[in-house]
Amino acid sequence: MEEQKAIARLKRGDIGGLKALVHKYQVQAVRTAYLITRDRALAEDTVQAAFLRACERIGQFDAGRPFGPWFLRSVANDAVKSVTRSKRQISLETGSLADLLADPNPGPAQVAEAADLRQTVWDALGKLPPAQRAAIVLRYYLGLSEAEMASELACPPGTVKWRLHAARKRLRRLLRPLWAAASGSGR
Amino acid sequence: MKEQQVTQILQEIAEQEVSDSLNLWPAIRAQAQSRRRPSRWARVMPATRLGWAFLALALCLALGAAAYAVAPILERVFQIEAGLYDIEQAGLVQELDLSQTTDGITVTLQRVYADANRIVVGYTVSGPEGLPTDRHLLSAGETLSDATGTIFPWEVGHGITGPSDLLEEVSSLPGEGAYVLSFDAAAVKGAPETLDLRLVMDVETYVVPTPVPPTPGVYENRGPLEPVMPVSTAGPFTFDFSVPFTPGHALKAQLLRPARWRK
Repeated sequence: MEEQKAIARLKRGDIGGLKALVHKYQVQAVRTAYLITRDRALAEDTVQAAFLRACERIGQFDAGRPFGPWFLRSVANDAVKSVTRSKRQISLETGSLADLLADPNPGPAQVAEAADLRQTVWDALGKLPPAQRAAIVLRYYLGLSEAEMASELACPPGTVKWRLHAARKRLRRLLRPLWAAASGSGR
Repeated sequence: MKEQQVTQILQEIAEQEVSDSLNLWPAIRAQAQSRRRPSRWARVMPATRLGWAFLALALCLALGAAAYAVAPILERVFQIEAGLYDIEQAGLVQELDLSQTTDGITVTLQRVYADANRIVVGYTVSGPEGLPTDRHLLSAGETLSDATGTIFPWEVGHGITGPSDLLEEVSSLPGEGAYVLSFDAAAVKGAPETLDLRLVMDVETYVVPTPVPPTPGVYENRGPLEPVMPVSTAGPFTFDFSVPFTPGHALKAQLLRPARWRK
């Protein structure tokens, strides 16, 4: 109810409505953006811009739908664009050929030596293209189903399925030793 | 490693990096305020020192001019447009008389019209009695929406405060004004009999400085003109109303040429 009131206020041009939405969704939004951009400052910038754009486009938002998924979808899309733009800048300015040609697949020995599981997963996620990383974040962090992702991303279910499949496949390859060790099934 | 673990690890990473105490609101509020649209009337306000001089002079002249009631002025302002004049003559304009007063400022929504192309609202603004003559009231942030929350983009507007340079022998009292705004009706779906609409606006008070007359033959460089900022804002003024929808018309903006321009 509070969310609907906030949206109604915002639709009337009352910025006080935005305040309530910021307080409700800012943490989840920045976390989502951070998992995709891997850069805290870029994540905060992305979320701030997303809130301001949501404010400008609130007239297009169907008040009968929950605001959260609509907004977090927008944040995820923006985060992909931000990190893509950011990567382009890095490759032109400071990126080295060695970085670009670095082997994306660590060997079993490297993974086994990794003391921190989170770090290993984090590194593996970082090697995914931003769009695939966003698919993983939407599916596993925000807990959206494939059908919800298709709805929220406004793209055919087949596209979402393919993105998730590609992301999972690559993630599994990157984490194969860990997957095998934990499940014992060699997944 | 199971997929559930990926979820847990992602949550741990995100929580470690971004704490629950995060507060983006001050930064967002600052950006939102800096992005706020300038008053729509700002584009028709004088942009030069000479322009302000003319406006101030016009306001002074208004004091001595014959006092016309605001409502008839709205009719004249409405008729500035050829198309609006025609629909008024055809009896398609809906008369309303909805008033709201906040902080001594009264906004009266007087007439509305809607077709497949445009939604037009005509309203008057008047300040409290005894308002200093250098105060200038202008509506700001006008938003027109329907019951579903669809916002109709603002398209064009015109109005009068003080004496008109377009309508001869027409002037408003100090602190009063009459305005007509048009909004794009493209977002109207189908051909409903009526539209249930909400108009929200603020009213900003400006102080129009009285210019010092230039000394003949002496050029004075006074530097760039300072932007004129509102000294106060009243509102929001909110009006809920219904207007008959006339899908057969497609009213386009077209100002009448004043008689004295015609040769």
